[in-house]
Amino acid sequence: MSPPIEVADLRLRYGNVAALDGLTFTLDGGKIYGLLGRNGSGKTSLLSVLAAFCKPSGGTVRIGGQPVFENPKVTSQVCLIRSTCDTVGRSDRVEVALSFAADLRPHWDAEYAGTLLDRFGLSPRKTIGSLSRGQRSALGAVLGLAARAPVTLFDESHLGMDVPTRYLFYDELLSDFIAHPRTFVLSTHLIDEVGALFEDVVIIDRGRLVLHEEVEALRSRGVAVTGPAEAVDRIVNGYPVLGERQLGPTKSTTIYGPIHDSLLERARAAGLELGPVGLQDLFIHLTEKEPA
Amino acid sequence: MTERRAWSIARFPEPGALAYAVLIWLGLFLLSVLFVAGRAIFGTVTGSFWEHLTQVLRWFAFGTGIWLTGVYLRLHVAHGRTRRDFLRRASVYLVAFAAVLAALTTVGYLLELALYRVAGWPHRLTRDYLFTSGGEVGPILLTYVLVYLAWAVAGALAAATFRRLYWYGLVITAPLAVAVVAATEIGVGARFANVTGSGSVGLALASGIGGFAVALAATWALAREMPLREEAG
Repeated sequence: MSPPIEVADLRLRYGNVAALDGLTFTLDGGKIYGLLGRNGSGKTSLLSVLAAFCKPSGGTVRIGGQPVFENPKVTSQVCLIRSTCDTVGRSDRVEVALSFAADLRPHWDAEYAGTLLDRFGLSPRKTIGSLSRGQRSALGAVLGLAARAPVTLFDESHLGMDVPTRYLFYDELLSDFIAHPRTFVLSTHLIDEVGALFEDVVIIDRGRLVLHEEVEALRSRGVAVTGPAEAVDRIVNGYPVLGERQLGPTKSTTIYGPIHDSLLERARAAGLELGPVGLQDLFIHLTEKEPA
Repeated sequence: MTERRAWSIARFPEPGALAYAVLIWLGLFLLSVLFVAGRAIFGTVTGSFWEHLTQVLRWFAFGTGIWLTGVYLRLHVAHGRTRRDFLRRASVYLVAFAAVLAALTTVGYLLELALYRVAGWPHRLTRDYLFTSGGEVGPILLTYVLVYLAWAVAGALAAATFRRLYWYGLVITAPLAVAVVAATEIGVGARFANVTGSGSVGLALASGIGGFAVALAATWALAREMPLREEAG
């Protein structure tokens, strides 16, 4: 049901610009993956290649062991919803867009699509051009979830949604993933908000892979140490610091790197509190640009 | 899970698309009746008016080609179909569309001819096509199938060019599209009859089918690796 995705030495150029520059990784499938990267890092380009929206300039992409581009056995199993929800005609009604998807999507669930329309408060009679940006994004969520494609890719699909709608989207995504396990790849900048959904994260920067790791393993690479400033400084001395916050005499410092048990024991012995590190802090550290 | 529907020309590129041809034809036919009635009241009816209105149907065919490739290629690819699959179906659709529109055009000629006979008006045509009177069903049908096919595929080529190469690509493909349409029109005798005389079936088939094949091949060449650029939100 969830084919693996194998990307090897993937390259994509727009003229002289390398959007993807030798990207290599494998996703086993059957998980919710977070695709993270700064603006212009190549996230949209990567997802576009995975969904056969464009042909790579070099390297290979295989889903379920088969090449993707112009391969109907694979493309019918992949669904990419982009932030602009530009996979529907602007002059069409919402119900026409759903009927169109029902014709073309092999795993389409019309009943579920109807349920989602109700939950997102979308009228099937409205024309797509008359929907607000957030409503179009919600329609994209409906199309992506009800397609039940074994590989479903959402590229910043929450843009324009208000907070309750975003949380509804995350809830629906998680419920549907549990009911119908498949591969989801979510590209987002709202790392703290969506991070709880991710099992694995893939971080790319300037078209190259920075990291592909389980979220828990990644989180264990950092720790937030909180307590009296002087004791905290003494314990974290020598570790890369991701961030510091101080309120009066109390300081919280987030460090990154191989966290040895001895450090944790010393911190506990000193009466310091140890907390998990935020995924967003780790992301910022890993993609920090060197000063020019 | 919804059972996948089998592919049907009636649902391509979207359900009921061929019905637009019927609506356009109906509107034009009513317009022609009104015009001829007005001409009879205020002047003299000297020949077929429907013949002139087929120019509107030519442009409608051109627009349909643009609409088909310009709008639906990206939608089909975005929903997991391949470009090859879309163009294969689109070419079948264009033939079916041209046949339906030609059949409606033929019905238009027949109805107009019947009306003129009842009223005693001469049903003259301005040119010798593959047909010389409005009652020759087979030749009229063949003429307009080839003509509409050429205009429609020219539209498909123009849209594929715009999607792939933007406006400046049309500098390259517009002459080809014009050549395909012109060759077909000359082949059926609708244009430049002083050059070829009246149309001949052999010339019409060769220019019409050949032109369609050339334009379709050019459309495929543009579309086969066409990227789906993100549209403005």
